[in-house]
Amino acid sequence: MEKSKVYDYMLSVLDKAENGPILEEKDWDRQYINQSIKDLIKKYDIQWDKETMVPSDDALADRLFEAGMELAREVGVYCLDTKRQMKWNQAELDYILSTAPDEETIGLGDDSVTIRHRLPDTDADITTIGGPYGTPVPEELFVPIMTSYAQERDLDYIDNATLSTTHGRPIKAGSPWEAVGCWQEAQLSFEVLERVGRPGMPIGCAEDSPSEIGELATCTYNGFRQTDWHHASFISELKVAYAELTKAMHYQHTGSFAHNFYNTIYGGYVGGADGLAVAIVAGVLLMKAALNGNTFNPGPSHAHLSCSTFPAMIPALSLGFQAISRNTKLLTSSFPRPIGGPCTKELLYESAAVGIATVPSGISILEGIQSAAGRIEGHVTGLEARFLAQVGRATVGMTRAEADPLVRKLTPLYAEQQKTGIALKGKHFTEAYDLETIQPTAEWQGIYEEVCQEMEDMLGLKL
Amino acid sequence: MKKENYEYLASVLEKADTGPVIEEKEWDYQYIGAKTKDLIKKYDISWDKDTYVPADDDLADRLYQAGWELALESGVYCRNTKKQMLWTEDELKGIIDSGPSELVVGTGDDEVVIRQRRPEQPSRVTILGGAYGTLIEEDLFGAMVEAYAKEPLIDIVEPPSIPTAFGRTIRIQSPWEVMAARRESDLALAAVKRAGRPGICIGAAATSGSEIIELAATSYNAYRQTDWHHTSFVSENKVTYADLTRAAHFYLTGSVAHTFCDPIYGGYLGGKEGIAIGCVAGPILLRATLLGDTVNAGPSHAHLSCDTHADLLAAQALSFQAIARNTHLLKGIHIRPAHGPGTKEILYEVAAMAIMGVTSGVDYLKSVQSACGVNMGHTSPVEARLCARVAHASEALSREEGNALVTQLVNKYQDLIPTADTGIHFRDSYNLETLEPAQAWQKIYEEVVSELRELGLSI
Repeated sequence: MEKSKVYDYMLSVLDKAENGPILEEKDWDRQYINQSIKDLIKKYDIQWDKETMVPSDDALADRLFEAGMELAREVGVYCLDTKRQMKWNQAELDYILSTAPDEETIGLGDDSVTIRHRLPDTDADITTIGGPYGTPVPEELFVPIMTSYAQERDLDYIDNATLSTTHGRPIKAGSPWEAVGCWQEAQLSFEVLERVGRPGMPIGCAEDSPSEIGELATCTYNGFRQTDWHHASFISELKVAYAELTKAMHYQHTGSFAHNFYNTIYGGYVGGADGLAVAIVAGVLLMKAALNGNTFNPGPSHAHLSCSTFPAMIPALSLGFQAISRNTKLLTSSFPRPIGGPCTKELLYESAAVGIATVPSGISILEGIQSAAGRIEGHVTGLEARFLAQVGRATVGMTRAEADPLVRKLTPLYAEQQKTGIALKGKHFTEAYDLETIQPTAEWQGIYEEVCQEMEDMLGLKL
Repeated sequence: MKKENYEYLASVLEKADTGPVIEEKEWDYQYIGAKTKDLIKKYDISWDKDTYVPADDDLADRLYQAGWELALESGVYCRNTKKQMLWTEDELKGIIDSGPSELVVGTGDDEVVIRQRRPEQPSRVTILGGAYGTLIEEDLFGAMVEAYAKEPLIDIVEPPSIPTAFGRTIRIQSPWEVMAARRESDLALAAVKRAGRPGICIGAAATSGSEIIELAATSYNAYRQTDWHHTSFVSENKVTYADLTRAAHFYLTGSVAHTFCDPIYGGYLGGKEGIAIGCVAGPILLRATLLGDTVNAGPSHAHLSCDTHADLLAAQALSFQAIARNTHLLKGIHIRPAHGPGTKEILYEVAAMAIMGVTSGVDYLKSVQSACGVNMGHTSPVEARLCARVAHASEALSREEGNALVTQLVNKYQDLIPTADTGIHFRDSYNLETLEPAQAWQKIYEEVVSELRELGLSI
């Protein structure tokens, strides 16, 4: 492999993790994140009308970008293994951002998909991804559950569930079981793609890799392909582990397509919605800087509810995407993580709210759904992902101003119920789908159709 | 290479998680030390101390029984879980029988077949040549690999290790291992291409680290499934999660897996008789635990590190004979002399080991971890070239004939081992422009070749 300028850059990233100033994690959380964000909110006047769900204020979006860029430049990333602060100067950040293309093609042959950069209010198409996103599922249900997603033609590609066991044994993190578990995940995924006749479709992977072992063990010969969607991530807030840098370098070396994500926490060290917005921008910039992926998702998560659909978080998410979209070519994704589970209307309302708020905000990918916040084994189905994709596509071409009232109508439909948390977990896949036909039960299909009708009647969205 | 017995692989990992809990000290003293002592007595494992290549088939078979019993009754110790991994007799027989008796490695015109041999069988042995993980400066790594790959008698190349990647320290369990993996594979693949042998099998990854380096190196754009991938035991018969992870990775990716262990002479196994048993039990358990396609027990002297010490020769010879006569496992000899390049003694040590191994039925020779591999850059292809020539010249010899030659060679180096000259660095032993041996080293080589002819070897 010829040593390119980007490769030299990535070497410098690893150097930062070894040579940066030593900091205590407590200082990082309280001073470098919390205090800096408070100062930036004030300096850049990051605020909006609390009733607004989808702001349309370009100047605010651009100030937010400046705030996020300043956080990225002045604070950087904390390496958990070395306790070092990794810092970038503006020229370095500008360089790595300049290397990002405005479109990327992923997948193979007829099943390949092109992901494009989108601006707010544009009518360019989005890419849609569906899957349980690491929600645990019983080994014997992996294929039917993943088939329920892969068969949906509204979805451009899939992201895997996590196996609860491998060959009947627990998948112990950092052990050889991780390699075996991820390998089984890969083989079962290929079986799913063959079954639905989409062999070249990208797969979000590996979802059984708590350490670096699973990813390294499967991003190789006979395992997941370079054209799959490989994950490396930050830990909140703006922290990175050696394991994630290891994964990132492996994708670089193997020429694999990399997706980076980060869950900034609403109600955590970043503070409330305004702080969340700043962290979303900084997070995306720093994921590009530290992990050099191809696509980026900034979460976020509610500190107690775990979801990303909490109403106060939605404008922060919308603004964060607008800021990135207007000022970079980075390919971002929106990821609804609802409290509601399958067979609940709330799951569909929550997902629709985030989808409608973020598609006009300039995202490139709408992905989901980690139903029931991904916490309940098997509480996931392909139907909610189909619904999200349909809502997303119906929203394409809508302006932010048009989307705002729709989201305002949706959030009251679930806001109070959402606080009950686990009560909204819904039903297990085996109760929501017919395992023979891999189609929704009459109950779940009925709820879906009812909500589709509501989308048309209440919001004017024809799915 | 298709490898699809996932249930067996899972059952091995399960043994590491669910076997009886044992303290490591108890493992060393009871399950290895005391057990080996009992087996020496039970199977009457003894031989004339002046014989280096015994030719007693009955003794070799008793040794196999002793090694089998150690494998069956003590098994393997997993250091991460402190569990004893045990196999039933049927499991052990099944996995040994499932091992290949011939193995294709490398690709295209550079492909070679490693074939099972028996003692005194006049068939071709496979020659591996390289530095076996001996460190070399990063900027000389490519030249050294190329120099080995240029040797026509070398079938498989085994690279040295790099101490840095792009000038940076390779920190274990960090992303730098991934960088080292790629740096090593890039340099090695480029070197064999320059040597005109792009498909030659490469021993990988030679740079030591955790499991990360192997996982990262056996992947797209790096080492190939047809290369020779390493995983090993810790002495005695202990395994770590890292090695089990490597083994699982090689199995799942259908890569060629080479497994090795280093029984320690003067350690818990005791003296030469215990080493002989350890050298039989080790390969059986390497196959069972790490699913090696090739196996190697390369003993180390507790203080001198080498495996060419006179006391170790017969123990190794007997263990090769035991395995060759009772299994079709592909086993090899690893040559780790005390002396280094630029000395005559390294060539005597290499020749003694090659003759002993080939007449005892080894299938391949790993040559040469010169000066015990502990001096940066103190390896050169000349000693591997000599090994190849001696090995092929020994293919038609009987063990008795081999013993006579080895006896003469041992006399030339044995007393010098404790104060062995570790020789000279690659940059001094080779011309770095032409990648040919320096004149002085070439002359020593030629003198030793003449001496070997005088001893009666048709080289």
